[in-house]
Amino acid sequence: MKKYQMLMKAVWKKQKESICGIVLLVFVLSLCLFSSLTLYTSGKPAVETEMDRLGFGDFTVWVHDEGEGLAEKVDCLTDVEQVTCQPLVFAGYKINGVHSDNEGQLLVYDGSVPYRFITGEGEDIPAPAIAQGTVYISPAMKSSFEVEIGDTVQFELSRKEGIINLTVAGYFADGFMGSSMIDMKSFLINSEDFAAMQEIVSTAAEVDALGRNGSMLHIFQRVDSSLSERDFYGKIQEETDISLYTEFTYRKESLLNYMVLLQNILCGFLIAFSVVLLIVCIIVTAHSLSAVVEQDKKDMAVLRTLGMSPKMLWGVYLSLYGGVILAGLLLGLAPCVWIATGMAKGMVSSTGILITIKTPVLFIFLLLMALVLLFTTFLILRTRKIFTIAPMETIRGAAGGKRVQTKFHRKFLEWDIALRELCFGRKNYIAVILIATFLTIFLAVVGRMGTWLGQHGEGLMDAFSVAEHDLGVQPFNREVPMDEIERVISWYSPIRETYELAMESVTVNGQEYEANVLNDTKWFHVLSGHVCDGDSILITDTVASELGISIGDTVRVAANGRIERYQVSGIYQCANGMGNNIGMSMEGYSKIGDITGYIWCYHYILKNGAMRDFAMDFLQEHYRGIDVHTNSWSGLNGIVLMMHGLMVALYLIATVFILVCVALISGKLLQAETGNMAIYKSMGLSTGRLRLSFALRFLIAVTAGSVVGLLLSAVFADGLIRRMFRLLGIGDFHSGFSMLGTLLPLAAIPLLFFLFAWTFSARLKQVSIVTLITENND
Amino acid sequence: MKQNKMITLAVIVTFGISALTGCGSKTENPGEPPAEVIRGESTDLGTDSVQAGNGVDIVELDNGNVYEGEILSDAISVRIGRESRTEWNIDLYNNDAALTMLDYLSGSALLFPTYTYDGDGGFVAQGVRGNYTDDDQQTIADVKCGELYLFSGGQLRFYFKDIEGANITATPIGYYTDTEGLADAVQEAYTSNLDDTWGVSVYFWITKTLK
Repeated sequence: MKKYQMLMKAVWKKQKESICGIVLLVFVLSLCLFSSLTLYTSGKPAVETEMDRLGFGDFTVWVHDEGEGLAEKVDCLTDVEQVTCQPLVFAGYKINGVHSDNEGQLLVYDGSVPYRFITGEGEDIPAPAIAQGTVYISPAMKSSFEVEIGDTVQFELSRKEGIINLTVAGYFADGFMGSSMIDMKSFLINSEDFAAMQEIVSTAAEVDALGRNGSMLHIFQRVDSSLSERDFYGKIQEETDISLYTEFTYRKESLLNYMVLLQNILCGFLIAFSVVLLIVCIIVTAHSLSAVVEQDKKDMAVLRTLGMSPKMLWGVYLSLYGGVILAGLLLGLAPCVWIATGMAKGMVSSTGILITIKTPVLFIFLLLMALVLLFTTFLILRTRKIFTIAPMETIRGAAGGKRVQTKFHRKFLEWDIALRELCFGRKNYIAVILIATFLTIFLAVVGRMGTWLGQHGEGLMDAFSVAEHDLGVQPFNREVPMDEIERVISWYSPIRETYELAMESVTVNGQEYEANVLNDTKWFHVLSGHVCDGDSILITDTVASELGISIGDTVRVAANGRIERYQVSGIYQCANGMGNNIGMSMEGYSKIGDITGYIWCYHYILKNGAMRDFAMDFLQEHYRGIDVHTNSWSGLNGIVLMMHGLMVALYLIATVFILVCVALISGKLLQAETGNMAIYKSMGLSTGRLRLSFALRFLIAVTAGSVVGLLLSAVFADGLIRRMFRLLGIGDFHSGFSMLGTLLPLAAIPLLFFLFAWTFSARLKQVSIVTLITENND
Repeated sequence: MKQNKMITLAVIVTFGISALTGCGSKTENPGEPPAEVIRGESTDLGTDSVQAGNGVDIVELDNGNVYEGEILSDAISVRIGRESRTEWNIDLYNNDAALTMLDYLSGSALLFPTYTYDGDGGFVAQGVRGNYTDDDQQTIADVKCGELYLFSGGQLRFYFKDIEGANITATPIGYYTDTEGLADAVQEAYTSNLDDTWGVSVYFWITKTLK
């Protein structure tokens, strides 16, 4: 045992640099993987628990007018377990000069619904007594409106003395619609303010009213009900007049998916990146182990001649490196709850709620075991060589090197030496090439997504909107001077195109969807098939898989008590409502809906899209009875910021990984090439030129790997991302050439390798020629 | 030497991060549009409008009315009543209002509900979407059966009776090429639609037939 310990000590002393490097790599991998997994697994249950705590029903219907009577009617139905009614006031609002695209929902806070109050930094605080004239908001509004405590929110309830200013007193965790992905936002106010607002809205003349009273009806289905979710909702609609008052309806599952979407995207990226890091870790460990076995071969041969068995030697290396990897994994695992909690707090301004982190102990234990098994198998395979060491031949140093003949040119001496060493020790650089390839693939995929996302989130805007537009104006009455509004828009920027969109609720084969109705169907993003006409509809991939229908099938579409048969003409892209929508032409919709009402939103595509916000601000400021919006939504800024932050974080992690990889690999290479370096030095080559030559080898190998990675990402990345996006309801993905997506990984990775190789080769200048030759002879 | 390395490293990292986060320039706010633009007195607007039909013809119609301008023959086809199968052809005048309306139509039939039925006035009417000017408005003393007019405020009227001394001021939109049996068709459609759940007076199926 003592012998064993001594040996281990000796190996540790000799290889401590590479061992520390491996620990660091495994630690980063473990930290990244376990933190993101902990956050991912905690997210959905945490939001679900919060929704249950706040009393969200199996589905919740937002209705206008008082909901008590409706709630009683619904409650009488046989399959209904319970209906709770939460009164609210719908009102448009403005914060810091920015008018919201959607109406806010003012809710009374009297302690009956146990809302959680948090700080802007995501710390829990005790429930306060909300003072009159103050309001509590979702922290997600911080990123969308740059709102801080003390700012004023202006609620529009009536044109006549009905503009109410409330001061932001703090934040609360909005479990229903807190996420940046949801544009509708709730506000908590005290009961006196709420009663006053209800009074303003109910006494305002019809022409003056801007807000309206409403309710949330949380409907729970009986546990023993045999009805499917769809049939249950259908029954409520049939047997009550709820549809006459419905503003919108959300199933618990739909809203839950919205709430966790952002953090799932973030965690998805980190988990995928962790897989890349795992591959890189394996490559680096493999290279390092091979080099260590090669370096220690002579020592092992001597020990063999002294009577030590190969099994014992193997045991020393296996237990040392196995222990090191396990230590790295455990070191990374230890702070994962702390990191995940930090991430959850940091994401409060995007998710809108504070996710309570719960460690998935069993899952993490199983994953840890799987990783240990993977690394152990790998270590066993890489250290098998120890059994094949022939003591006498190794001590004699019988193995001869390969002869490599290359021509040297005086002008390009560094390049020529680099190329010669690359040819001579090409096996040593395979690891470098592979690492560069994998990192480039991943960073190119991330870069492509960044390109698609755009500086202001244009990719998401296009994916989530029915059709491209810069500005949308929906008039709600005949008094709205649309000709004047168009003149104003044209003053800001010439109008390139216009079309009209209506978003109406319909059922397709009994399932409720939103119908996007266009008067000009050429604007639909058709992915396959052809655009719809009066007798056909377009569906999304989500609807196609949910209903099990495809192009050419006939479906029954119903609305407003009318039903018609339509053929599915194609698949189109619109991620709105997680892809739960269909596309119809105005002609098609006219058969089941009244096209003469104020359902149409005029969409404008401007020659200078950058002017849209200025035009929107002016229109919102000067015209009543219209809803003006851009292709963006208030939470988009937060999402774009989060994605850009994530990309910076991934590049930083990649930089740390490259640093450690270069440290490990360059150390082994320099040690193996000391003889050659001595000879070059003796020939008069300066240390600077040798260092440049050394770094150039990395540059050449990594550039080759990066080019391969870039080509592979060009071929496969869009397909991979498309598959991932389809899960989110985004049917199509195409990324073009960009500095960010295409050139940055190709430039950054080789440059970082070059820079770090140059830095680590500094040890060349500290060693004299004599020492180098002596070391070589040893 | 060490300092140089740090500077190089810092430059690369800064370049990388700035490239990642994107460094775009801010667009300058042009301010607010002048009052004359809002009132429509300025022609300094950027709208890309397409002007169709430059030639001006004087057309004497079969019904005796005279129209100064081009005619878009058989521009649309109409069925009167939700269950009707009979197609009626309509010629449109080549003016901005008619062209705007034509833009809303396609080769697929649009079910167009009209909520106003005036048996004595001899018309069915409905407000229509779109921005219309009064530039082509005329005063018409006697209105003939089958004529379509657009009134200020966007109300489209279809006259199914001859109304003498109507004295209306409206933009002529078009006319039915065949008026025989038109009044009966409208009356029948109206009668059969009395129990319509939406309260629609007469439905029209409208299809653009102009190539």
